[in-house]
Amino acid sequence: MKKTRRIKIFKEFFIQLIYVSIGILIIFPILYALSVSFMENKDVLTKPINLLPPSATLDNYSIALTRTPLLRYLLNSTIVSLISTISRIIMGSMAAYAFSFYEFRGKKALFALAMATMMIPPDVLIIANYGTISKLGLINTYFGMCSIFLVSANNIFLLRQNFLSYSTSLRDAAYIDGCGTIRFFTKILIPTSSPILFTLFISSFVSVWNQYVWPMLVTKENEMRTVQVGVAMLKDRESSIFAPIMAAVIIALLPTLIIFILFQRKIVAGMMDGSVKA
Amino acid sequence: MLNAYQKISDQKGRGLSGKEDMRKKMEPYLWMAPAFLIFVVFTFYPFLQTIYKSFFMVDQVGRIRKFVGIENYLYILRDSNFLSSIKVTLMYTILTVPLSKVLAMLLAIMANKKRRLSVVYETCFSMPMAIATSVAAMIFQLMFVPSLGLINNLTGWKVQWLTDARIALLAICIVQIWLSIGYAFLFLLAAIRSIPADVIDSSRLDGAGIWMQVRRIYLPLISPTMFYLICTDIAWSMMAMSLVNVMTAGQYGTMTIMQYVYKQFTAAGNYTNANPASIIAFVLAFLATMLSFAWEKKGVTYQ
Repeated sequence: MKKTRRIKIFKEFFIQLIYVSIGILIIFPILYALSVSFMENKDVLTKPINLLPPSATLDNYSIALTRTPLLRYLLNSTIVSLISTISRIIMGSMAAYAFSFYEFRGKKALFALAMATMMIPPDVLIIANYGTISKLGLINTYFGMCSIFLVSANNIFLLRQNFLSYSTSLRDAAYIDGCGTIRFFTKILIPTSSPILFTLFISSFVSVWNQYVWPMLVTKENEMRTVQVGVAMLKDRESSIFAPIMAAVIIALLPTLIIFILFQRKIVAGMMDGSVKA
Repeated sequence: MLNAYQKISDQKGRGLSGKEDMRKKMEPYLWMAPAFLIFVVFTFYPFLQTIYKSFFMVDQVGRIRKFVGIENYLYILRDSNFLSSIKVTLMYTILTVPLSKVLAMLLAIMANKKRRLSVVYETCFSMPMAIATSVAAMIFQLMFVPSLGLINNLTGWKVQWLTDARIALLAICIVQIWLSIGYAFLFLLAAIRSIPADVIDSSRLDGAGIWMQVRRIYLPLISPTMFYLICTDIAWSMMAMSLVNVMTAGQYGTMTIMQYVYKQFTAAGNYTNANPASIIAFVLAFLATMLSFAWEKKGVTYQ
């Protein structure tokens, strides 16, 4: 009996060892980029290959931060992601409020119309949207970069699901207490919905931060590029200098990676709710 | 739900003025106005505009010149570059969508049972989904360097990963699969964990091997989740371009439809080709979604 138990413990240990190894294999590209970011450039492409830096250096980070506008890129990404995310939450919860607490003419049709936007991939629209943005003179502006991310039908859907779980009696009670619709929205509905709002905030932030095509299209000045666009352009100019590029890559991926590791459960919960629609 | 609300407003303001009444009626529309303003300006208007303009000759700054009917469509459908971009996009979809789902399912079945180190390996399995495509492209570009890059260096191969027209698309697909496994893994893990343990145990007692278990138990029970994942991923793959744009700029047989669209209007200012091309991309994505709905009826088991 004791022996089989010991075998079982050993087997469990062994399985976990294998699984963690597979896990490390999967994140290997990230680990390798991290390692290269500490290497001297001459140690990157060698035979035999260096998996760990023979002599560790922080030079690549100082090169990445001083010779490229990486800090400016990070600032741009932060501004664009924050504006878009906050706008998605405000406009999304306002629309969801209308769809869950009011009865009005055309409600079903308008809701269907909002949901239909999920069927049109934003990539199909980039030509026409680029036209709009350039006509409005918004190329190279934060508003232009945020414009197509300002509302998400998915967020409206999730917030509506959430608001529908409130009993209308709560709102009616608030009315009787003399609480107007705006006060009900700002003082009761929004504060009590903070868990879902937080989830949406995190997942929207990560998704806007990682956008590439649209920010690339509407920024012509180097100073206005987001970190994803800026990093992808490093290679054109300094194609063989991989060590500093990997330092830039690590700086670019760190914010979302940290957010992901810290809030993984929340992000996942947000995505799962989104899938219920299917 | 409006009844109580109306009752209250009735009580409050008997003989409510017409203006006040109007305001109450307008209220829900006002709450929605900001969101719909954005939808109209950045989704509906550009969508209709793209369809409309696709029937016209368009000049280099996007202004309509001459109505040509479906001539633009006929033209790009004869353009060998565009035809090959459709082929590349379909290949991209076929290579990435099923394989990433199968791998994610295997990982999810492995990770099903909660163990002491579950958090560690689950985080590792899903982590690539937090990485931006452009960043992933840069890392893999380093690993794909033909002369002394990591992959050729360790394997001793001499593969020109990103400059050989037979390999480049495959190389990009590898990166895409790496990026998409995490997302599918998390969904499938949740689905698999919701299968009652006794269902799996009893089948194991019946002597069902792992393959049998996958076919008889896991696949049918997770099919709604699988369906959702495949559906969204196919539609998404039809629009693929970020990886291609960073890694090969559409050269060496990797030009996807959206890369074609992007090239046509940024490099050549050719809106006349770009508009119908994006509408065709939309139709393909739409058809793919419809097709998966048809498949849903057959293959998906809802409990």
